[in-house]
Amino acid sequence: MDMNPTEIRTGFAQLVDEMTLARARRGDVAAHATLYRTYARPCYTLAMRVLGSSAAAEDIVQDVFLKLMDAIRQYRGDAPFGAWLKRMTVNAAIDQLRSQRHIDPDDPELLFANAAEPGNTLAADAYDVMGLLQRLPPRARLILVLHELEGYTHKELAELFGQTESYSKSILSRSLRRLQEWLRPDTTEVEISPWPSRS
Amino acid sequence: MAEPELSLKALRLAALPEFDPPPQLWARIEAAHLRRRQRRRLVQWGAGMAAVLTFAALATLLPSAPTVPVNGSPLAQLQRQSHELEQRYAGLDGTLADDGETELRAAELALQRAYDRGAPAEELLPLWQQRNEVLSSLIAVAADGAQLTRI
Repeated sequence: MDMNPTEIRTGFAQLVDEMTLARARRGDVAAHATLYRTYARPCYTLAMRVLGSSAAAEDIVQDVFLKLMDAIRQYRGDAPFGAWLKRMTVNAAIDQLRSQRHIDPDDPELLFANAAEPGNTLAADAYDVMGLLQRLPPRARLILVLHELEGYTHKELAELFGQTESYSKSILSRSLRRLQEWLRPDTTEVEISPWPSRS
Repeated sequence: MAEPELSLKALRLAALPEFDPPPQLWARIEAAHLRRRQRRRLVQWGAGMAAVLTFAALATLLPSAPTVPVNGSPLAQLQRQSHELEQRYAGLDGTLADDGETELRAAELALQRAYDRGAPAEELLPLWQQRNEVLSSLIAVAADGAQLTRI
């Protein structure tokens, strides 16, 4: 893995050297601890954003790192290690939502049918973005977090959910609109576009 | 004046906080990992020599996997080779000689120090080569059931 020491990377984009990976593949506990110190925070943050519960996020981090200690023997370095780990985290989060029966209907209309109504806006937490995020349906929240914060493309989301690209675009657009309504209940028909824009 | 285009940045979602896991979480994960390893070892011993003999027989009888063309830099090739050796060695789990373990750890420590100080590829190459040689020796030793003696 080529590493540029002057380049500052954060979250799952951080790099680890090949020797640490080789030692981790051999079951070296110190190397596992190094990987944990590097990636536990992005892993936990992603889980918190998607699941909204510290207990559930801890379970995700534990599951992911236990799987990592076994699965790292199969990691061949075709993709950056952080990206590989992020995929494991996302899969674990989806599994947990499914196990809690929190994966909502496929139909975008039904998905938002039971979401909090715009009129329920709470002035006190209008800018508490974590609070607002948790008011979205779990699947919508997952799509929003993955696309807008974790850099997933609609093509990748389509593969992840077994849906079309227009499906995740529709969910994303509705999620943004709903968030906007919660933030500014007096404004309605305003065009919202994702940021930063990706395909 | 036109309404500014709304975005996640405008919604302040880009400022979502990050979270640190609780400090004791790693200790819990380590403990869970240790428990799993102990359970697996028990299962392995329970299976006993039959599994080892079956594996050895299969390894002898099955044709070797086709060679995949190796691409990339010499360093990448050595790392790939190292990975393959690790996997072969892992298949011989439980046959580790103390001397070999010490030598392997020494090779790995030298590599880790080289990475930690940002050593160039020219410096890393012989160190990976050395690690591969130790791993190859350990595999050979494990196959012979002998002791590792390096002069």
